[in-house]
Amino acid sequence: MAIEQAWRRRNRIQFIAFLCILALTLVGVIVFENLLFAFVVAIMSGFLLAPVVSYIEVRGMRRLTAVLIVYFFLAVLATLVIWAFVPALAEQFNTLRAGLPHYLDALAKLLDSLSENLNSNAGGIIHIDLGDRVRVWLVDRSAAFAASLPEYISTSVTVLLLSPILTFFILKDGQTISRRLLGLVPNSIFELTLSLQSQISAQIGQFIRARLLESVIVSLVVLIGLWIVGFPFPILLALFAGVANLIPYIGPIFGAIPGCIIAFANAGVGAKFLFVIVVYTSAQLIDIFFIIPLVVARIVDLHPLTVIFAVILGSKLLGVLGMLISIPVVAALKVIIVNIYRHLTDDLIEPTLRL
Amino acid sequence: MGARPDAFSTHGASAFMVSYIWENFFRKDSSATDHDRALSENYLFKGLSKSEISFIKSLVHHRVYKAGESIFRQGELGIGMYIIIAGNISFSVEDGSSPDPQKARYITRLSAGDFFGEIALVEQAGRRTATATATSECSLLGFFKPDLAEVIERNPRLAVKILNRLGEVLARRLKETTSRLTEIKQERKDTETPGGN
Repeated sequence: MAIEQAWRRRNRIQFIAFLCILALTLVGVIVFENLLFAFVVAIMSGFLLAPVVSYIEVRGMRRLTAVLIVYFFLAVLATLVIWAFVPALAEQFNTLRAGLPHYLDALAKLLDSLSENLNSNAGGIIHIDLGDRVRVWLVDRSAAFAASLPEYISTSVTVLLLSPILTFFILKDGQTISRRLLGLVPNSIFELTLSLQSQISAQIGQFIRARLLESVIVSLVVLIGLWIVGFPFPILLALFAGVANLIPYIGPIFGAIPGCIIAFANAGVGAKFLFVIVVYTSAQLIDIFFIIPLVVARIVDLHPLTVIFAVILGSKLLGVLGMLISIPVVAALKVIIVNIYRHLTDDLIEPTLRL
Repeated sequence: MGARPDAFSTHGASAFMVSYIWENFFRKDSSATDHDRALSENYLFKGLSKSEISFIKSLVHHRVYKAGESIFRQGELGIGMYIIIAGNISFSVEDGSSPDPQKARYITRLSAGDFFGEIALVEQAGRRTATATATSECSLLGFFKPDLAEVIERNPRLAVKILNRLGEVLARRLKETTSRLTEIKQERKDTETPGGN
């Protein structure tokens, strides 16, 4: 058993070093909150790009070469996107910033008229002043935004710099890291842990890819629709709708609000306003009737109540980031619960419990 | 590389560090060579090129079991196979006819070079049909469903070779089981038939 003793000694050193690195990483992520966001973005990007890397690897390339090829093409794509869209996007952003007081004023007027209607219909029983409330809220939010602007800039810079580096190592060494971690698992639960890890990883990977595909399709439908209608800021609004769509249930409504406010401010409740509503509704109908049943629902079979509860809990704990990661986290928990249940109960029949 | 650190037999961390400092780092990693040999000599991976074996080696899991420790128990969910590098494994099944449910019937013993549990690679939620226990300190290489799935995804040509071999192994097991079953049926028939031998 001299071979085994040597192997154990070498691995003991590796494991101690590995545990130290893991502990330092965890402390770093907890202490520097910016790192958490960069990690989440890197993990999502890793899941998104892993099939592309594997596709290149199948053609006889080394994994490192495959990762470098993917990074090269991404750099070219990013350059093209910046060259093609950023000037237009910057122009739209500047125009929107210049017109922001006008749009906010229009929103307050809309809410004032709504309040008046409500108050007159309520017959003096209640008195609501939505316009004033929104004005106060906007002033508060603007002050809060100005105060936390340095933090936002620091987060953005950290994410922009760290995420590609972390993604690179996740793609190149992710499997080795996960294998090292599995090496620490006791023999008695090794097979169960490996099975859980592979199921969770597959499900989260598919879920992230499906959600991003969903967002891209919603963005494209909104972009094309707004462009056909001749509406201002199509790229900016399409991007916002796509990102907001990542949040289940409330995201699509949230994503349509800026477009509706701008349409109302420009022309009131007229044909253009209705066209904009039709564009956003069409994007959502395509999402609900085609993309979700065909792609997303097959991957994560969660009860709608579980989804709503998870999103609310996620928003309470981690804000927008919590809302975005709540579903994959719950899906992973479901895999763990179902597998442990099956392992403990010797249940040969698939559990019918739907979480 | 000079004298071994036996002379420095002090206790604790200092002894460990001295031992580590004196370690011959230029010696070829014998455990890695053992894994290479175990994989290339295994029926499932026989005939694979060096680079293919190296790829499989990057996927398999090395596990060490002490004497008396069970690798898996009868009825547990199984997700893959094990190749024995060193040590012995004994297999037993719970005897259904025995009034004592704890009483297990010994079936067989496997040693270095043998492999077991390969049916779990192709079964959906398959249960282990016997309990495997290490009778001495054992070193095993585990190859599981997620690893096979990774081979299929990352190197389909290699996956076809492995699946072909796996098919052969399973077919041989089926043939042997069918032949044994036929023998048992014949024996039963002979004993039940009046005047039979």
